[in-house]
Amino acid sequence: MLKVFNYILNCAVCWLVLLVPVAYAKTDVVLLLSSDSKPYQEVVAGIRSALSPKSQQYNVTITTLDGLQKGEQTLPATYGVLVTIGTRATRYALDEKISKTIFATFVTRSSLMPELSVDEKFPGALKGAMVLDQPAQRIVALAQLIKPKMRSLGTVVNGSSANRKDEFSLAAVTAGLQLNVATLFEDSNPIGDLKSIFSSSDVFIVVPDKARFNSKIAKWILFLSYRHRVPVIGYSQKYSDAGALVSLFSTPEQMGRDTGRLIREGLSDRRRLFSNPRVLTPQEFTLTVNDKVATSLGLEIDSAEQLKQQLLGILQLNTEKKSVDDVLLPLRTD
Amino acid sequence: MLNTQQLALLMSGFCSFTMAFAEEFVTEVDLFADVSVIKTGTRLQQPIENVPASVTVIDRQMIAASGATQIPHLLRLVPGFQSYSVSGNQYGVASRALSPDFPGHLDVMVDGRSVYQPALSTVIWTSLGIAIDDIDYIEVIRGSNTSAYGSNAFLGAINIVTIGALVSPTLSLRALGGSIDTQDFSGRYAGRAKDFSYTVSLLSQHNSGFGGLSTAEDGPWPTHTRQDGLDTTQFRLQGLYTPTLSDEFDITLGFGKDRLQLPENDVRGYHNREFVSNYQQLRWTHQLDNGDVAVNFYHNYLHIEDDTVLGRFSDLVGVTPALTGIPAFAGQMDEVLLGDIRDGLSERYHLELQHTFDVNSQLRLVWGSAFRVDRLGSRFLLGDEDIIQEEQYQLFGNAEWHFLPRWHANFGLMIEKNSIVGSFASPRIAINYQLTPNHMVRASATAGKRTPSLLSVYQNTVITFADGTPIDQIIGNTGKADEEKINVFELGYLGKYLGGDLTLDLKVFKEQLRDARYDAEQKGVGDIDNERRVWRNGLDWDNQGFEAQLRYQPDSQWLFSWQYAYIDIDGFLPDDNDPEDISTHLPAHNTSLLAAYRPIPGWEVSGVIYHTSEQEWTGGDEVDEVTRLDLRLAKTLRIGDWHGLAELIVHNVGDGYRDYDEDNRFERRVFVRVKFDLN
Repeated sequence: MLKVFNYILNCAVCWLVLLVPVAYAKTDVVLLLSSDSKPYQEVVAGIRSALSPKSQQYNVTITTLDGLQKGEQTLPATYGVLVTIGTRATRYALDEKISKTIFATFVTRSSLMPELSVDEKFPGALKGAMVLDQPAQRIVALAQLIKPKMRSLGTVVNGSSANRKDEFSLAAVTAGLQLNVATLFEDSNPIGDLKSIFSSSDVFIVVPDKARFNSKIAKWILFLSYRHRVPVIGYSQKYSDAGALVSLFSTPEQMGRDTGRLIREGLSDRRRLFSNPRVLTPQEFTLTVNDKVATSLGLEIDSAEQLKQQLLGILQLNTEKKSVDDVLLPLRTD
Repeated sequence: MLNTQQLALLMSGFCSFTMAFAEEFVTEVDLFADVSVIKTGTRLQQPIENVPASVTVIDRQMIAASGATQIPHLLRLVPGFQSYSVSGNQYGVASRALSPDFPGHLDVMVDGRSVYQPALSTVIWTSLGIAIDDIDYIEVIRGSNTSAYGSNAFLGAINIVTIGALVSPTLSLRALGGSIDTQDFSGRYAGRAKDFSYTVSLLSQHNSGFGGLSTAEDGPWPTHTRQDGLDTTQFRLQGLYTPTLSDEFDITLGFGKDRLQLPENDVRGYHNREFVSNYQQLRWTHQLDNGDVAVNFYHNYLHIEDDTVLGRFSDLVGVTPALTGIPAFAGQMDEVLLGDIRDGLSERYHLELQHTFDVNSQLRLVWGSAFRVDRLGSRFLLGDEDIIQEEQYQLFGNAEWHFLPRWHANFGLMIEKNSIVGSFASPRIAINYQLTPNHMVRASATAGKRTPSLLSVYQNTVITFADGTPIDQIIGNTGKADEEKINVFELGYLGKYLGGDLTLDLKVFKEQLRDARYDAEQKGVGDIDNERRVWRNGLDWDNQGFEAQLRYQPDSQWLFSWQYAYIDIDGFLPDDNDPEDISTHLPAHNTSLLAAYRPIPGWEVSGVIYHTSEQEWTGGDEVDEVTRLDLRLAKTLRIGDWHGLAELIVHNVGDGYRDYDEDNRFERRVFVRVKFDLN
């Protein structure tokens, strides 16, 4: 009798051992894209590359928001995690409660504010989010690299970006710098306010806001940068193309790779990652330098790659390394 | 200097992206919004790869490296463009058109203000009111752009964008001196009064043109004195007011006075022509949640005074004073006859409203309407004291449709109405295909139309006695005018190599120009010589050719820019007896190569070599091929808080060449230019 029981138990364990990976292999990750346009596809490509190490294969199902809303696509019955790519997909997944395990990526911290609790955690189905926002510490460290003798930083914020004011203040104080910040409103005279910031700052940081606000002030920022010989740190390749001295950002593919690695860790150790849902910043980033602007500002600046290596060196020595450990990601240099 | 043609507004247009959100938080769409750079092509802010036409941008770096001392000279860096000297200080700029003394088929704008002068059907380059150092960049549409800017842009559009009040140093001083008695001075002060940023500019120029040289009649380079100098003084105020985040007011005021010496036909004499000008411009741009609206109003005024003296009647008709009793002129005195423009007036009022918006994530639109009044007065040109006034209406629209990934279509339409030719439409369609992120091909078709110039419609120039009795009809009109027409087909390629350090722009084109205005000889008019010239439609010609433009900037030390154009022109100037072949009126080959190098910090050497094959200038003479080399050596200076630049510039290092007219011998010219800026 005992032999029979042992046999049945062994078989059951064997089946369980066999069945569980099969169940995961069926659908591990569902990607829900806000749109099938190029940037979102690049995020997907990044996630796929990070989820495809030789040691283990993950099964990825791709859906688009349009496909889901039109009924042309459906979510699998079971899966490990739903990764929403972009704000629209995230918003839809949360509002419609289509999953209990959601990881958002390619979103901004601002767009997640309604979901965040006071202790910066996600209490609901959202099990974590990879945001596009670069950490203030990283940007401040970059500012010190391009202008080592700097003493003050300047920036302006609007309604949507005002929530980052404290983060930048803390980063500036930690670095021993003064932060000059102005809040612009619709009835503000942008040149008047920007001029006072530029005249008292060594480096200007552009904090991204709504596109309309960004476009309204970009021209004035770049003009005043030239006029006051104050370098600007932008937030996209296009900003440095337009006249910012440097830009610091994560590309969609870099966001995808960082997200993929987190998902991989999460699937292998669900309790550790998904039990501590919070906002994560991308570890991979890109620097672009506008050499013509450097020349016009009379600055001698290293190449983008050299700057990046120096920045990574600094970041490894400061508190950002701690946050890297927290999210289980090694620092990457590519 | 900052490459500020790239400092155009960060506009909307998330072409490859999803729709914008109404939420109040920042999204990924906000971070990846497009940066747009070119506006003159369609009135939409567009990345250059989406523009439906070939574009040349001459930026501050090229302007400095070229060593150019006059604004029209810069346009030699545009493939297919010709910049020439009708006389020492009368310049002409033409593109794929005939090259008369007064070329008029290009729309030239300064900060969006057309500077075309209806009285002379051309641009008075010395009266622009700006110095070469005031220019931030020049954007040139190479080819017909009537669908965006109307009749004046028949064969292209040039927008000269000046350095704004925000960018200008607090005080800038410039001095240029050297050959041909050149003494140019300019100064600009930038200030701020409450919320109003402004610059005040003064410009003074003096030179003696080709003076000191003379006609070829007496040998290769005889010694008759020729006078075609210039004295000009210009004042300009430019202001910027931004009362809110969404509103921008740009105001420009200017006035000036130029005195040009113009050589007589036999170059032994000259007369003075004086231009007194003023202009005012106000632009208001209001940004909406989706797009913007803009109002542009400007007024140009030009008064022309010329002191040409034709001589005594007896000299003109070749009789002795005693024989002035020619039957037709019985009772007339042998008086001194006056000629050319006296008390001439050229004036333009322009009011324009424009609305730009995104229809959806794939379609952007700009549309608008303009009302323009051109006024022209000159007893000499028109035959009486009346002021000719022409009112024109424009309705325009341009759409950029991103209908498939990698595909952009541009549709443009301009409808114009005036009393000369009634209503007509100028459409354009272009398809741009992105082969890869760095390679784009384009096909476009344009059917442009042009209202004939006011002068060509109303001119009636007659030499008269003081009491008005006509002596000789010079040029008149038929009382009938039709629109000029052009059909253009283009294939273009735009490529980026070496990580964007090298850009290549190629274009093949075919143009059919029909019913262009020209002045033809007319016999039997019953005046003293029984003939006159008369304006009429009927000049047809075809252009086909190839253009290339390459820019390579591997690092901040080196810059190369190469331009090339080949053109084959086929047409005849109609004449009852002897039609004139105009195939030689444009040079078959036109090329330039600019190179600049900074060997050590603070020093720059640069040079431009230009080559133009032989041609017969329409209003000038037949000239041989021309090769010209300009060189420049520059050194930065620092005196206290002043940042300076000293330049040694040599124009035409080699032997002299003839420019446009066989009497215009361009010898080597050497200049020293010194600039100082106080921030």
